[in-house]
Amino acid sequence: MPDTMSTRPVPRPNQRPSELRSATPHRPNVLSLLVRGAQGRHWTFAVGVVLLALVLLVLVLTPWISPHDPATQDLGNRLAGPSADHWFGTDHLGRDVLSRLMWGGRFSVTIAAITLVICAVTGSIIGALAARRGGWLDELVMRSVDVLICFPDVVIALFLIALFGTGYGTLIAALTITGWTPFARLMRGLALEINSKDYVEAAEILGSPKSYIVFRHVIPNASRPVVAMGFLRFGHKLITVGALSYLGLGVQPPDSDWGAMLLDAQPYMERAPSLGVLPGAAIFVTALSVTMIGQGLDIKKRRKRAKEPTAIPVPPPSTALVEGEAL
Amino acid sequence: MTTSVPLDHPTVTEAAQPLLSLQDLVKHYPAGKGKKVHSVDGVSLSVRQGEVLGLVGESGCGKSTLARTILRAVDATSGHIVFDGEDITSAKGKRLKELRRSMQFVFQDPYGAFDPKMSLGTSLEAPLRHHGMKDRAQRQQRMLEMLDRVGIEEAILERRPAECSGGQLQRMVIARALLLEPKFLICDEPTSALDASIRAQILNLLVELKDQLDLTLVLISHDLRVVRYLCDRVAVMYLGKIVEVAPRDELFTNPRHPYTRVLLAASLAEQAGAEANAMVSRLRGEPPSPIDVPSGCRFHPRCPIAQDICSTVVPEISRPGQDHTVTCHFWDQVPHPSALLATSTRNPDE
Repeated sequence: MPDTMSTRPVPRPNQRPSELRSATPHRPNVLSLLVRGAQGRHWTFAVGVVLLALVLLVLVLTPWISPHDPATQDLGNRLAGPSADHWFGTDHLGRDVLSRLMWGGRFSVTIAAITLVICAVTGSIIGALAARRGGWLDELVMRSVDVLICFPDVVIALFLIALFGTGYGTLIAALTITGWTPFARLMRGLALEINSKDYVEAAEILGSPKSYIVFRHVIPNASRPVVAMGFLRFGHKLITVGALSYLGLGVQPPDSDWGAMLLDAQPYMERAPSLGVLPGAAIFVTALSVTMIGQGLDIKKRRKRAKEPTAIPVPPPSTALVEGEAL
Repeated sequence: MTTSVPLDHPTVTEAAQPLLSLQDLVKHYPAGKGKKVHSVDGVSLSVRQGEVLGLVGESGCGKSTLARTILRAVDATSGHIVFDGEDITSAKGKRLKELRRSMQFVFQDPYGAFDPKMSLGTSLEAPLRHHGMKDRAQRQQRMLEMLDRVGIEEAILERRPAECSGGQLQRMVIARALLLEPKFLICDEPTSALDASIRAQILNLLVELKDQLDLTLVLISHDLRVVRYLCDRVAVMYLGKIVEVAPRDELFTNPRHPYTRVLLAASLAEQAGAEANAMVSRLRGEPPSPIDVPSGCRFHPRCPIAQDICSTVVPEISRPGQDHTVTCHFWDQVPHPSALLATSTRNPDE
């Protein structure tokens, strides 16, 4: 019989020397958090963060740094090439392309971001509740997801805009109706797994209400993949907003966004190709940066094994995320 | 094998009222194709006020499911759970929430028992808040009181589970379970995930708290030494059924069910340093699947003394002694565990 069993210890537990190390609480600032976050992640994370930071910086500072009013026309100077005054030239109404890119980006990015946050929040809550309650609610949610995923979101947007007319509200609503489904699906899967954890069972046995379990245990513990998914979906949202604007159903004149600029540029593809290339590139870079962040969050960098100098393979994105794609 | 363990907690007398009584409790899980997993399959058992009942059996025999069914973490398929004179089998809502205060659970794996994203303080405080302790200072005081009881310093409340040791976390699990002042505590292998050096501390803590707080304990374990050390009575479970229940000393000196005897023999073999396969040679094969349970006595395919009747007739409950029940056709013909231990020549206690 081992010693641990045969000696009956006498001391009261609170007289034992403490098992605690001294706690060192520290509140890191945003920058050091970012640096820490980038360590141990795939390189795409860092690149994406830098790119996105640049784009956002320009968009935030637009009211102060944009060289011209984006709506001021100068019909005498139509479709001009780059010059000192107009770095990216002018469009078919003589408006400054650089200024329009900056102002238009504010619309595109804001609408995509708002839609995405609404989608992520509602989708997560719906998915977590479905997993928690199970039964008919789960069935209803998952079948709705199946149905909604069948419709391309542009089609639903066209339908809603036909009913309610154009407007930012309609646009956001249209994108949300299909947009929550991948989040619900992802969250449901994660929540089912988390529901089987001991700490969830503990909360149940301790008598914590269901809402507490969902909002304080399940959702926080599923947040990492959901955030990664949010970043991955942002690019998709941005492109969809652009597509709707391109179809003339998104942002309405005199406002403009990158999609609308593409539409405007179409008749002048041969005379001034940069009119189409620039907003396209803006959409591309922004979508790419955010997607790279999402990828970086999703892919854990493989730790170099000490004795294996072989190249580190880049793992494919997790299937859970690919599965949720509506395209 | 003499008593090398000091026995200083009183054995509960026959007269004590059962705090918990299970009547033919069944918990089946669907296994697809119309089949069922017979995790808990007709358990009748009572736990007396103030005692420590040991529940032993191999992994997968349904011990943990039984605990979860009693605690109403899962719903029973059939049968009754009577707690403190009240049938709680299908208690719901408010009643169930009140019940949560009186029966609690200590998890096997302390690392998984706390939300990794929450500080331990938040985890500990939540149940108090959910049970109507509105005053923050009061909650804080209650937590500190309990931390003191389990021997942990206040600073741990700031930490996350990943920053703590297994021993600390298991103390915290116990603290959390006891915050609500339950009278009944089920401990599911509370030490199996811990280092050997910590185990005795945790077990002693449990015994101490039991005495201080007037608890009734069910201790699930597959470690017979732990059971022998702590329990007043022992129930042996095999494949969803209780096969033998007896007071601790009676069970260890005069076991009647062949399964109990094989378990004891295996435990003796381990202590004697004999090869662990002494047990394997006695216990033929793996435990059968709880999906296709054997006919008759469930133990018959592995039983060293099985006869024809065992595969066809389910044995009745017999009473070899006062307060001792066994479910075996041949309980009076079972060889003693020391006789089963053919390979061991050394006496464990010399």
